Amino acid sequence: MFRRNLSQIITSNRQFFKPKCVIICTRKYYSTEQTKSSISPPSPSNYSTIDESEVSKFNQIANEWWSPNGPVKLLHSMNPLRVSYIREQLGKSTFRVGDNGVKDNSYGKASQPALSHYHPPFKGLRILDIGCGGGVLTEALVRLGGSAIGADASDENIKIAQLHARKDPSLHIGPGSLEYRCITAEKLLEQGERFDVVCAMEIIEHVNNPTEFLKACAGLVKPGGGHLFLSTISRTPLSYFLTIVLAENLFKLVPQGTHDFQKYLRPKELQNVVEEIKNDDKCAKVKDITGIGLNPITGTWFKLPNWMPGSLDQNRNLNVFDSNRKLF
Amino acid sequence: MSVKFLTNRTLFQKFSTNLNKRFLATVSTTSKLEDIYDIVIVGGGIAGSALACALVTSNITKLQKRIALIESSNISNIREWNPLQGEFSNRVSSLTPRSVQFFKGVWQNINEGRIKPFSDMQVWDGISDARIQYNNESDKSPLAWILENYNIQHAILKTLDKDKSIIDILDNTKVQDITFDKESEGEQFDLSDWPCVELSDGKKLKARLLVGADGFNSPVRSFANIESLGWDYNSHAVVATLHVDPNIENKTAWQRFLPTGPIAMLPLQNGYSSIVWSTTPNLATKIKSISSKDFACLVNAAFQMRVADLEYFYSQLGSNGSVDLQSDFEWRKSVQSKNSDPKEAFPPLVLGVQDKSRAGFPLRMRNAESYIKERIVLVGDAAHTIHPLAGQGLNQGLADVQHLLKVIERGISNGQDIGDVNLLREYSSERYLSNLVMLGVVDKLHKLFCTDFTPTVLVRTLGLKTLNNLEPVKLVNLTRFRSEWFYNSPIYAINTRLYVS
Repeated sequence: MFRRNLSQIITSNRQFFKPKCVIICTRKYYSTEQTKSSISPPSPSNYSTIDESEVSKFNQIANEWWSPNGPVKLLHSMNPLRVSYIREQLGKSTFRVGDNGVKDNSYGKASQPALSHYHPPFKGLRILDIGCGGGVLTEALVRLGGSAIGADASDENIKIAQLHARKDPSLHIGPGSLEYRCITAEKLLEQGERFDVVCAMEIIEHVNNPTEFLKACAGLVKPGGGHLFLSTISRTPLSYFLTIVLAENLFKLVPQGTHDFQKYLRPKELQNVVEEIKNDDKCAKVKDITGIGLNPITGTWFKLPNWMPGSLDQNRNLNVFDSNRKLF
Repeated sequence: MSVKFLTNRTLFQKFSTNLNKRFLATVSTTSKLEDIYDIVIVGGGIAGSALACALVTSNITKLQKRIALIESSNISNIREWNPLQGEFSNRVSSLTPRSVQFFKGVWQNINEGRIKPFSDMQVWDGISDARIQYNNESDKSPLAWILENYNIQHAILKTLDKDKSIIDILDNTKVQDITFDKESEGEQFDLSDWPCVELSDGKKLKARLLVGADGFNSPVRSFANIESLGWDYNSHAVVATLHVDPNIENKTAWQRFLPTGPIAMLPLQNGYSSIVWSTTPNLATKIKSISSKDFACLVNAAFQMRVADLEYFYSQLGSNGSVDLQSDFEWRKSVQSKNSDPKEAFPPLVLGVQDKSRAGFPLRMRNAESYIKERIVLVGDAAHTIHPLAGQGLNQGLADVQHLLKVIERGISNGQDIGDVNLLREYSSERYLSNLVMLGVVDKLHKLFCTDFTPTVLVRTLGLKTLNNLEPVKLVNLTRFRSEWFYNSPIYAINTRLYVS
């Protein structure tokens, strides 16, 4: 399916919530005993939050997922920031081996740790990338050692992703592992799959019923301390101007109709939805919200500073900085 | 896609062997999986081997990347480099403090006795004698370090040899061809967009990232179909190792801008200096072939005589050595010193030249139209060639290496494919403009000084005098400050963007 630029991501967990634009929310379900029975699918099993028209929309551009200057170019350039955000939030930001964390631009000085000490940051984590599209994020998660499953409702996308994965032997030889499935979040939940980390990046704006979709995503998180990462475009006049007026109509960076403004969510809304999802009377807590923006000059994405507020009024502010979030 | 859960490179190799057995029929037609590398560096010069060394010792890259370094010549003589006292190679470089900082890790392996830090510099105009002097006595940090290229390469190789396990150094190996293998059906992996380097020993290496550190006539650049833009100067450089007056402390770098091109003398040790003399191709041929006595005398004249006198010397070069240049020089010198400023300092007198140390090469300015392509990156001379008058060529190459390392590390930390052009773009946007600025400045300096057109001479004289009247320390700090300001400024970012996109 589709990634879009990050305007909000969600995780859960602490009591306080820093107002930022990307929200991460980590769930923690404290009672683990009743997990399977208590997490029921959010809706009848034939119900799907997938929007058929959205799926076919992305089928058309599937071939361009990996073209470096194609319509998803900005998604590619956003990916490193998303990955480093996930690493940071999981407390795995370090790549260091052993204790010598001193960063030095010179070389030749480092001690020589044994090969076996090498521990990639996501090693041992079971990660779901829901709406994986061409696998832009999924591949990165695997390279960092995660056991990742990329799921997408579009068969075409999954094929593209599988074909592309053949281009990199390191995805298949470990330490990470990679699997793609053409499946929806709801189906996965039904099958009883659980993950340490669930990523639903740049996809909420493309599903039919965000609340149900989020419930399914939350259900997929392992009880007792998993993480859910969400990312979407905030609904503000500025984002309308940037993603629809500029990106779609004026500069045609992405095909017209890629975005549906009505489906955009504000961080606060997203936070409310996520925190209302209950499981055994334990609510998910939003742990962090961070905004990101695109520097139009260098074409790189950057994190908006912490003081950038995420509430309604200020959201405009934030979008001023976000100014450049176009496309997907 | 079937997924195996293996943990490290050793297992990777086992796995690939298994694969080979399973897919022998198809795989053997193309490349073997053991020949799949993350980074293949073509060219084992200073830039290439410094990059290899940096990758091998970086905490982030060393544990998970397979690296190959390909060098066409035999490097064992550099490995066993054991120089004689009082004999110096004519290929020397000046390293800026920034480059030395980068080399901190290999510095322990360097031959300390053969490095010459200098903190004094004198640069003057051949026609008007306007001068910039920089005496850095209060400040402890040298302006630059002069050392032989062999000394650097030897130290790098020594450092590299300690980490042999993750790098394959293939010396004595030529690159025959670089191609893209067509995808063959049924193979486990599709490496059709990975450059495939065919070697003279029949091996084929597949490269996730192919680094072209292969110099001016870079095969990697031609493979990538990247144009190299620029021009040839109508001049050649003559290099040599000189024996100079050992009684004078040799601690100053000297450079005089003659209308035919700059001549520079760099200190190697007390009694030894290295010279780089850019001049017309015609003169360069003569200078290389005259007797060593005449050569010494001509170098002295080039630093000390007026341009008109020097032209007389040039005119005598072809005339069968019937003229005694030495006595001519002494006579003209005595006349000249009567009516010249006694404060004017000149480099130590040249007494002779080391046997067989004279060599020449044509001078050019080049900049590749792009430093990157999907899975390909150029560093050092493969990307840019500069006039040696400011001694910046190697330092630029090392800055390339330093930035490339940073970009690769960043890519790995974020799980990116390090051959991804979006990642490499970060390298090229950081390096392209700053190299271009340096190339431009040096080129303009060359043009400014290679003329005797009077108004130009007046302007440059005024410029040099003004610069010299500024407090030297301030001047240097000012340039440092301004360059930092410049590189961090939005103007720079905008320009970079324009050049890159």
